[in-house]
Amino acid sequence: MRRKRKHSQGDNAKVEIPIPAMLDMTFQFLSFFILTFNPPSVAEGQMDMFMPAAGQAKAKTAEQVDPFALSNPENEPGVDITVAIESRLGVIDKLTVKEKENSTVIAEGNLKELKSVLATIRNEVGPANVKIEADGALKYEYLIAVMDVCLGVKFQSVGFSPPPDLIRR
Amino acid sequence: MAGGNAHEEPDLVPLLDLVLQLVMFFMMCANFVMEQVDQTIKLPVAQSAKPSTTGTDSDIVFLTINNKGEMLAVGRNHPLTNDDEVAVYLQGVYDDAKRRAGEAARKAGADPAQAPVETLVIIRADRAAEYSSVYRVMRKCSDIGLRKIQLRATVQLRG
Repeated sequence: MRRKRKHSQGDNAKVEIPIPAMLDMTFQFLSFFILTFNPPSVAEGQMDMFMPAAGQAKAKTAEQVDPFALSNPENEPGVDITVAIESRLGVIDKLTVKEKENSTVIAEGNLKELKSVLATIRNEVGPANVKIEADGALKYEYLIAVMDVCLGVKFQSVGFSPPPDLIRR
Repeated sequence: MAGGNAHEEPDLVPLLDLVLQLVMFFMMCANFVMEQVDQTIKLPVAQSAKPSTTGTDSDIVFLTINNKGEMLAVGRNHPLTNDDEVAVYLQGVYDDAKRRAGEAARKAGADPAQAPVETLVIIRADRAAEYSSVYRVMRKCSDIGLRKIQLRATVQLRG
């Protein structure tokens, strides 16, 4: 049984969409998204680095990848200075700066002293590459702090060596 | 001509369209940013970190390493906990990038097999993660063929 629709204003009544109300609501959405739009990437910065190339250019399969394989020195960019970081509990226990036959030990991870030693070397040798050789237990925060010091004294680039304790394992 | 008593209403429909488009833009941006940049990761602070210049580059892979040393990847609900899972994921990334580079080279009339993979891997590691976890991921990226690697840190202004 068909029902007839009742129209209080007749069949010619015009249906009006409340545009101003929708616009108000949309403006509120827009305000919300603008106010909460805070891309974290704005506060983030990039730190360029190099990885010493492995002797094998590319593993044939995923199983063949050995994350702790020693790199082939012939493929590495010229590394002039090595900063060795010893760590047992995640913090820096000892820093050693090795340059050719010379090595300077910086106790207790004093980053100011590291900066002064690296700045002296930088003035002597000019543009050079630095390789960081850190123990596997070192927290990433301290690794970046050392890298920050190296880049801060204007070394060309910073690379990373495999953690010596993991190679020995 | 309309008379003096004619009630003229502004046409709000185009304005509504425009504002809705803006709303959609902000919603999509917020989604993409949330997916790529995990807010739970506390990045280390560095003065020498340069402002990011890779914002518009589409050939980027974000890899996140949490404070337990597990790798999180975009599109994966669970962390990649062992070396095999990480290697398989990175191999997939490399193969996709190689295929795209090959197609681009073919269109340009070059040899697809010689097309270099230019994918940039951005590693966002938590400040409490161990170096061995971060190194493992960097080494695998490099060995698989993803040679452009960048670390991320929170920029600290000097002074």
